[in-house]
Amino acid sequence: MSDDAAPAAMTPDALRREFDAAFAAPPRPPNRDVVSLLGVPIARHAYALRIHGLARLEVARRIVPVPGRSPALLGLAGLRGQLMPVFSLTVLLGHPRDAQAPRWFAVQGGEAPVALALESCSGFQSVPRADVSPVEDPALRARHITEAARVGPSHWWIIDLASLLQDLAAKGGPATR
Amino acid sequence: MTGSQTFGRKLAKGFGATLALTLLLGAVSLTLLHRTITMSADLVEDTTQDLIDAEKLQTAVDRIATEGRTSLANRDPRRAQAIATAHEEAVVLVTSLGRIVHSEEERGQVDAIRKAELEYRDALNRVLESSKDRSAEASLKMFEDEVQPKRDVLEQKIAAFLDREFRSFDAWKRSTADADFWAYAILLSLMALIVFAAVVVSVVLVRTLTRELNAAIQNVQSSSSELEASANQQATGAKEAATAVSEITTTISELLASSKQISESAQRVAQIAGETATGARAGDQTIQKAQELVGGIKRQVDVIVNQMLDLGRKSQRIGGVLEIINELAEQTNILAINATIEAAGAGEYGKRFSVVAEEIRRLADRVGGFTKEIRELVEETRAAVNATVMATESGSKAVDAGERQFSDVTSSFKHIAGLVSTTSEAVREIELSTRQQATAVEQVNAAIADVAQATRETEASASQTLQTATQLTTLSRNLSALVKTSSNGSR
Repeated sequence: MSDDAAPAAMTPDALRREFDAAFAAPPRPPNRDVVSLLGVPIARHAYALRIHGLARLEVARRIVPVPGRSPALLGLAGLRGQLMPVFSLTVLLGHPRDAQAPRWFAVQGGEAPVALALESCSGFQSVPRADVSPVEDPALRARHITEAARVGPSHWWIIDLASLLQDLAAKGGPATR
Repeated sequence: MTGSQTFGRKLAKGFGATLALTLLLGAVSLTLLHRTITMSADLVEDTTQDLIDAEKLQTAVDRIATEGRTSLANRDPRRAQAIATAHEEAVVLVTSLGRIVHSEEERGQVDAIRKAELEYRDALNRVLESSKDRSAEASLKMFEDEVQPKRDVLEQKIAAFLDREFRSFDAWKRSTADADFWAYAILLSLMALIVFAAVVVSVVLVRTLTRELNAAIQNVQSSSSELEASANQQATGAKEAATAVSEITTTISELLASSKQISESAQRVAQIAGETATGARAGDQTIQKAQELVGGIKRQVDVIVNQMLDLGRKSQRIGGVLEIINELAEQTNILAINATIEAAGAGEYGKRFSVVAEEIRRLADRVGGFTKEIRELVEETRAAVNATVMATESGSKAVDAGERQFSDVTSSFKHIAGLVSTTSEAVREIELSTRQQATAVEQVNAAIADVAQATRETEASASQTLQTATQLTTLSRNLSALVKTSSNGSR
């Protein structure tokens, strides 16, 4: 999903003109009143991750299965010279594991980097802060859904990644070096 | 007369017996009559001849005398010839008298006459001889003295002969009367006998014939009764037969009309079958053309399918390229995200870079959006292509099935055409058969008409037979009555 004009309405000439005009226009300052979200559809739910909560996004690599206490642990993967555990975000959110192989790794930096396996990404969205509202549902909050962003006609549940990782650490999941 | 003999034979025998008796009577009568007549005729003839000869002799004697006197009186020598002629005639007559004699007395008389005639002639000749020397009167006197007595003697002899002849004739008449009496008696007796025999024969014959006639009449009556009854039955049967024949004629007429209708229908059917066969042949050609068209359609469909499959493959290739583009867009987006993340981590130094990253991300989003749209279009196209391919394959299968069915239809049509042809042949044969049947029915109708005519004639004949039988019965009754009447009368 994109917040730009519908592609069907664009023509090559319009795109060219817009692109060319972009070079003619003064550089735009960064918009600080938006929240950059990465859409992650899981089990027909529209979840989202804050971009700024991630270290990077990578293409999923080979996961070496290792035993662990967390059912969400998929195994270990070597990412840019770092060996880090890979957890299924789908399982962490309480959904059954998807049979589809993960497509992306959302890498959470820090001292104990963790890779969250994503089966798919619906896209990047910059949502105005006014469209982001906290979630009061205890069930959602129990699943680390603390905010909801209005994206077009739908809502994305913003995953509190820190809370999720804390919970994961509390359960003795990650942080195995 | 036995019963085994026929009626005609019996009648013939009876009539034969009667005829035989009649013939016997006739024969006896004829014999007696012939005898009587013969005897009478001979006797009469002899007697008559004798009397004639005697009279001629008498005449000759008289002529001799006359000629002699004349010759003596006239001294005519020419009278001698006449005298000689008369003498010769007298000799002949005497000879004739002596040819048929019935007794010695008669013979003696004839001899006496002959002798007397000789003496008379001698006497006359002497007188004539002596007359030459004498006078006529002397000659005449001598004639009277010598010749005349001889003449008288001769005439006496002749008269005695005549008398005897008359006496003999009378005696014969008497004897003839006796003979006639006996003949009559015999004839009468014979006639009585014959009549009696005829009566007996008639009675026997009548009785026999009556008995047999009665028996025959009885048979005839019974036969005529039976014949009458049979004729009645025959007449009744003939009427019933005529009625049946009339019904049959009506039925045959209806059958003939029906046969003609069937024949006409068969002709129409044959015509229709011929048209059907022609149409089948035309249809066969049309089907072949259609089959060729179907084959062409199939080939076209196969081409379309192949093209659609090719289009599908190309769509897949487009999809593959689109996947690549989408992957590139996604990767670009991820890179842009990562760039944004790095820019956010760079702080103030990454602000402009975040703008560029944002632009790249937006561009990647657009690419993603366009790829999505393209994907959708490709998917739609692929779906349409698949649907078209499926439809085309379905159509191809349908065309194949249709072609197979068409082939089956062609085979069936050919088979139908063959059957139609066979049917046409059969219909033509049926038409011919129905025509022959109609002809046969017409012949049967004509034959039935002949039979009806014969039946009517039989009926008429039966009626006539009945009438004849009735007449025969009546006739037999009448004959029986007549025979009974005759039998009663004959008793």
